[in-house]
Amino acid sequence: MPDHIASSSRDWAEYVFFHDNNAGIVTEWWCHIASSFWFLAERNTVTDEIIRTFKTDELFHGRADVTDPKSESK
Amino acid sequence: MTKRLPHPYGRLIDRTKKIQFSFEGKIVDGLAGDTVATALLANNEWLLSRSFKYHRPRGVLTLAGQDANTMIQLPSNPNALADKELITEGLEAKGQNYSGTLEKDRGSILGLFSRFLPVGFYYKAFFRPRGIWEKWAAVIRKKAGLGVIDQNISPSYYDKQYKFFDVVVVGGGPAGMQAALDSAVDGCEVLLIDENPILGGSLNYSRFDVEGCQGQLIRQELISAIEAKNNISVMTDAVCNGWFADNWLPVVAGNRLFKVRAAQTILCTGSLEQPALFHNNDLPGVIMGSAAQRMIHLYGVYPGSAAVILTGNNDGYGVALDLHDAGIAIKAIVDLRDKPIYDAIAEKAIDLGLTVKTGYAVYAAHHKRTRSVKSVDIRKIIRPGVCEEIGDIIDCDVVCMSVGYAPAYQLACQAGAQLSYNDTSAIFTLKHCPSNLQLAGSVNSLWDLDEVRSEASRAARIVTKSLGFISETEGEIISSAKPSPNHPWPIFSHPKGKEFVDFDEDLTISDIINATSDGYEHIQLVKRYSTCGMGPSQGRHSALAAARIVAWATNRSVAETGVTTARPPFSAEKLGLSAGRSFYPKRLTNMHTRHIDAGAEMLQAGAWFRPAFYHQGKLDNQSCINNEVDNIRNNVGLVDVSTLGGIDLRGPDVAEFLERFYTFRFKKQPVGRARYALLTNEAGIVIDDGVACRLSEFHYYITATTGGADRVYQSMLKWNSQWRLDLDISNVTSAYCGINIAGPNARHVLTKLQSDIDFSSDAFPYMGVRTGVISNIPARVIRVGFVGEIGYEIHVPQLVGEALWDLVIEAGHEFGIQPFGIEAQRILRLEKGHIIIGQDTDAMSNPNEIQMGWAVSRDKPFFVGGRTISELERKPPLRKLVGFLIDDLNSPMPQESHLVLDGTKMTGRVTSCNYSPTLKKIIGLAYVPLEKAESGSTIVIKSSEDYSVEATVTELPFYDPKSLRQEL
Repeated sequence: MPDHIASSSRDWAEYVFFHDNNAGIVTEWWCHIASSFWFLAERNTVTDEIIRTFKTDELFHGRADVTDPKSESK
Repeated sequence: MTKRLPHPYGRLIDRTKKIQFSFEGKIVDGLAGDTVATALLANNEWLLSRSFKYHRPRGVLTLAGQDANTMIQLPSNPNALADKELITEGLEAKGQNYSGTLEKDRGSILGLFSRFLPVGFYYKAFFRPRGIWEKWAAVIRKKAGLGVIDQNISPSYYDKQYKFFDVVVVGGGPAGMQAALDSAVDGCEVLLIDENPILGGSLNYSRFDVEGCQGQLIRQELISAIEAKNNISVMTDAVCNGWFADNWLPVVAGNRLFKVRAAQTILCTGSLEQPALFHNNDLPGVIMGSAAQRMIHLYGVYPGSAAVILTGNNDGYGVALDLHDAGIAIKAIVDLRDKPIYDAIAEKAIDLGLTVKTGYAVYAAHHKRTRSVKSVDIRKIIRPGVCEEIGDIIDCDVVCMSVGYAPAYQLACQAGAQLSYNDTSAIFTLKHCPSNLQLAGSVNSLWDLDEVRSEASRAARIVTKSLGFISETEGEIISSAKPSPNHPWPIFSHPKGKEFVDFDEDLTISDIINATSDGYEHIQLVKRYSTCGMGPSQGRHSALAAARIVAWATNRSVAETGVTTARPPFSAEKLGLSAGRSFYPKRLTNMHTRHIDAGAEMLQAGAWFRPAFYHQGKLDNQSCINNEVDNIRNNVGLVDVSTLGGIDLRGPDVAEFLERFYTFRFKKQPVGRARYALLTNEAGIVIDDGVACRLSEFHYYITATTGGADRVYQSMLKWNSQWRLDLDISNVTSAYCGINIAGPNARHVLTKLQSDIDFSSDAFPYMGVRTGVISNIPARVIRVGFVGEIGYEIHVPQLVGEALWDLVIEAGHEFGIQPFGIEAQRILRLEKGHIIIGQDTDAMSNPNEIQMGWAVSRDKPFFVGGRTISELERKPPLRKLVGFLIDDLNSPMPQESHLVLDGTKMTGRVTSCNYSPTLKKIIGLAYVPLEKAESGSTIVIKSSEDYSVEATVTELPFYDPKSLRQEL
């Protein structure tokens, strides 16, 4: 997420409404519906191969402070 | 009189059960196990259908349900395959696509004009002037139509079933049976699927040895072994109709769609015999060699009395031996090969003294009146595709083609495999299958029985090893030591054409070449321009020939040309299979039987069953609903709100989390108070609402909409997996039941209950929250407006919902308490101007548009959707959700989604509308443009094709504008 205060309208709109459709390895949010457990997956969108799955704490360390949105990992 | 070959010929028929049916109005005698086509063949009737474009007579080609020649009309089933459809007593079958009779089709005259109907004719002729196609389409479609839909069809039952296996083997021929058997190691659950009535595939009809007995011996051996394994499930008469990601396989069997998930799949789908291309190769009586073998061995039917075998391999000699053994005269074996390498079977045929013409081709087939083949013109081949000027005429009544195979590549290609073509072997081979899919058998270009079985065992070892059942290695790849069965160029063009490449679409060699001359060189474009491969058989018998011709015409290799994409379904699939009954979970609240007992009319809202209203004697529905409304406004009622979402949040950061998640402020919310909670997404769109109850400093209980609870809960977890605030979030929707008691007498009812909670107005004000005990039942009680009267919502553990319902009914008895349903609830809430998320909001509704700006805090550092809402607030909204009134009760009531018009311009739409029994007026909510949003404006609602109604925009709420009643 870009800085929700400092980012330009353009950048914010890009973040909310536009998403890259990359051919290759992407990191995606997955949710196990039965338990509502969220995790991340690296997937190759060309081959549909799941390269690895991992817990969110690998990307998001510790409490994120909203007054400084930059500490939130993208 | 029907004549059949003696036992053991006719494996699929039961000679003791005679069945009579009709075809084209004529009575036909058949046997149990016969298909429509084989019963007709037994009566020497070849003609099944008329072709799509030229209305040429057509009969059996493959006898495997793989071609469109056999499409017939059954009373409620058009395009049924005559070589798949079993006969039943009294069945009325007909041909299709003809004018007059199947025998004498007036449409067949079109064949004479074929010179004037070149490829792309319809595109070229009807492209201009504009609109001409619309004029002619009906006429042309009638000529080129397929089958008739029975519009009086009675519904039938279809459903779905889910299955899960370690290994699924598709195809029950020698490869499939061997693969299933070897996959069935201890602990490994295997499913073997075959589209035919019995397992065995080619073992049932093909000739694998000189004596012709090996196939059955091996089949018996494999079947006994499979039956002895209780971890192999077998499905016959079942078609795997596609391949989807992660081995998700739709398997069609009867009226049921099986959704099968396999950890590993082994495709043993086999190969499809391909036709040779010569003049009149589509005549009834010109068939695949394998079709003749199927007729003899599976149905005991004579393919004819005098046969010509056109072959490009040794399999044709096996066909000759089979026919010879059955007593059919072999007029000639016409071998395209100049210097054949014979196997033992071919040598046996030669030893028998059968006439063999090596280096010859069938150049043309002839017919006379009978419409079936009567003779062939065979000629010496000078060079590939070209014959001598003069040939020999051989009389015959059946021509069997054995010139090569194409793998049944459809499922493999859907899984991502690629086809390549080997110029030496002239075979399409499949490469690059995903790691969870293996091939074995002739789909993998192996035809020798020993090689096929070794490869199947190897595939089984690969999959069981990858699943961790075995540790031994799979061994070397099997590559065939046998010569290729494919002849590279069984294609002989004729001055008079009619050498059909695609039987479905009546396309000949010149049509394909002309498509490339018209500039369509890519195979995908050739397909779309010429329609080659677009018919019901989806290129099964045209893809190989079309690729060869396009490659030749464009000077490329066949591998470069390729084939078109083979999308699912593999075979025609009835819509009923997709539409049929599915698994929709059904949720009932703990009070369900109380609603039924009280006469509730239930309706399904999402997964939940909820009372719409309660019947009252013989009173009409609307009066029942209006009475329920009156009872709330003037007395007291209760409603089951157990379906509302409930989410418990606990931890030191709970208020901080809610401030980020919802639009309001929560940090300073006192314990024991509830607050409205509006939820927006990052695009600033309203997606849910509820009430946030602060039970203690670090404990909130939040309600969510009935349909939104799971989504809201998942969204909370997703955000907090990034924010990592110190709190626990749990979805307690199914842990609680809720009852809302509302009306001027609500408090009187509650004070009758045994409780430690003080329900008095001073002790328990509006928007207060209390926890306590009601007759030993632990309860959370919230004082909410809900329907705009004094109201209490009591949430109790799920199991005691019914007990609480009984307590409230008992306590309210003296006041005349009555339950009310969601119809009354909607009217009551509409009277108060409360919106329903999802009905009064859409994917574009932001808080300001729906007059909920008051629920958005602008002075907190962050909330989801906050930045976007502040961006949106820089411009005036484009529309507003307003209330409207219609005074004239005689005007038709507008419905949801009716348009708000300005002249003829659409400017908005109605989202809710109902008759208000309280106000005696029609009231509703609608999106209107900003200039019409002022109170007192008049809007025009188009409520039917020719009726518009005027409505007056009104301040919300309609009822009790200052909202005094709910706070009493």
